Amino acid sequence: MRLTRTAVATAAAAAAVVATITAAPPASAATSYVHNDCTSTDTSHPTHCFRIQFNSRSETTQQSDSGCLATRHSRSNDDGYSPNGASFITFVFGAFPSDAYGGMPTPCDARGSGQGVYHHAASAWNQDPYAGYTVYANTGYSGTSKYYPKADGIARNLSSGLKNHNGSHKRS
Amino acid sequence: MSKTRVQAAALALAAAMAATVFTSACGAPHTASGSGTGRQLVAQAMPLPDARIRATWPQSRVEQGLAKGMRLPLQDYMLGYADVVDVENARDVVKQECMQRLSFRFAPEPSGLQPSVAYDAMNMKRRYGITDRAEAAAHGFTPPQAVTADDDTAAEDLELAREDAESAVSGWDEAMNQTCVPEANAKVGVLYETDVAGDLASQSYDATAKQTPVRNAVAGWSSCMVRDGHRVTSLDDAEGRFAAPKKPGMKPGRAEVSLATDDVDCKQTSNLVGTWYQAETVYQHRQITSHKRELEAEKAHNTKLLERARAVLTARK
Repeated sequence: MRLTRTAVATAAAAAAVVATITAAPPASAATSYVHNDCTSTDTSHPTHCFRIQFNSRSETTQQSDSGCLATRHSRSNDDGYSPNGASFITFVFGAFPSDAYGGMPTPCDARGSGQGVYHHAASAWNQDPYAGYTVYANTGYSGTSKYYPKADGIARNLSSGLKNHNGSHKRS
Repeated sequence: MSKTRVQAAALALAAAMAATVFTSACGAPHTASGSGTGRQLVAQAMPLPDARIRATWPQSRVEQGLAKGMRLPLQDYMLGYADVVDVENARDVVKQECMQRLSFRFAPEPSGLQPSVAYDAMNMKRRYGITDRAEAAAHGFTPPQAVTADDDTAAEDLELAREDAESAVSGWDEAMNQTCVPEANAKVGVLYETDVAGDLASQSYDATAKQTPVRNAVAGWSSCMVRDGHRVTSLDDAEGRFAAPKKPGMKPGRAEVSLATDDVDCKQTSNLVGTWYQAETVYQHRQITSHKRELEAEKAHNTKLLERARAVLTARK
């Protein structure tokens, strides 16, 4: 049952995060590269995520399946963030292969994998039925913006001023 | 507020987990037809934002700071915050009733409870970065709405856990994605199927950024910032340095407040906001003339979308 897996995964991930934070040497700015900012582990069924995608959507299917950052959090800088002032989490596009990440509708493929998310996205797809998200051109939720409604089955391209110029995103 | 929200989220999580455990223990089949379950989930009516909450929402005209009173022409064609909230909540009402009919629980936090940073996609107050000195002094580069929401990490974690517990039931995603989302799309409609106004506003920002008066104003702002001891060349240079999640109770440091307040002061000295606003006003009037038909069609579509949404919300009361 998914709840059990999720609960176990949450506990494991929380432990891992704590371990990471406490183990991080304060002097060295260790950087980790993350494309799953949505669920506690990569295998805990990231089905309800806001996906920021490397490529534009398909105009025939209205879906996006390129490499993505999956998130469920407000992030005031799409470059990433420092959870503890010592280490830094950098957001990159990545793949969510269907066999390893069971459950994600139309998984993200490897196009754009490893590329930084900041100022490199072309579309977004909100698969979160519980929240809408707004993408902003600049960090700190500034500049021109585009709202992505709660999950409605449709991916949308970023508008021209936001394409390759995404600075932050906010859950609401 | 924060403590209350955490308590509310904790209670909701407990309820969601109890419901899930009950479902599993009873082995109730969550089939798409919902038939044969032998029981009915009791739907809790979604508490819509009341007048007290609506009073905290961003207004169509910026109320304070360097962008006070500013409103760009394309905003006449954009959905406002209250409109988007009504459509989202109407869609949620339809989805909630649909999920209940299929014997699944769906209790989303209504839209509008955590006010948006901006009134609409123009993001007028922060279109040219921070413009409110009082906010800069109090919160640095973080919008007040984000201070409330992002600080509340415990409540957010509990809410996400509640959502995960609620939707962990076998068949939940299929029911939502294959039946209830399409039902909401059909009964209420889809937000931003097209976004002509948003796309044009985005083009307006880009095009005017290249105009000489705006470039001169940005250069003037940058020189002013250098005089104040901050080496920055673009608006994002300043904001990006401090764009990190604020932890509970965390106040912006002196360096952030200094950069943020100097940023606003230099925008005032260079008249960056006024110059850019003027350039965009002229540019957008031209865009409206050349895209009148598409914009009017989108506005008519949005009017119908809102009518359907408000009919759903009225019927529910």
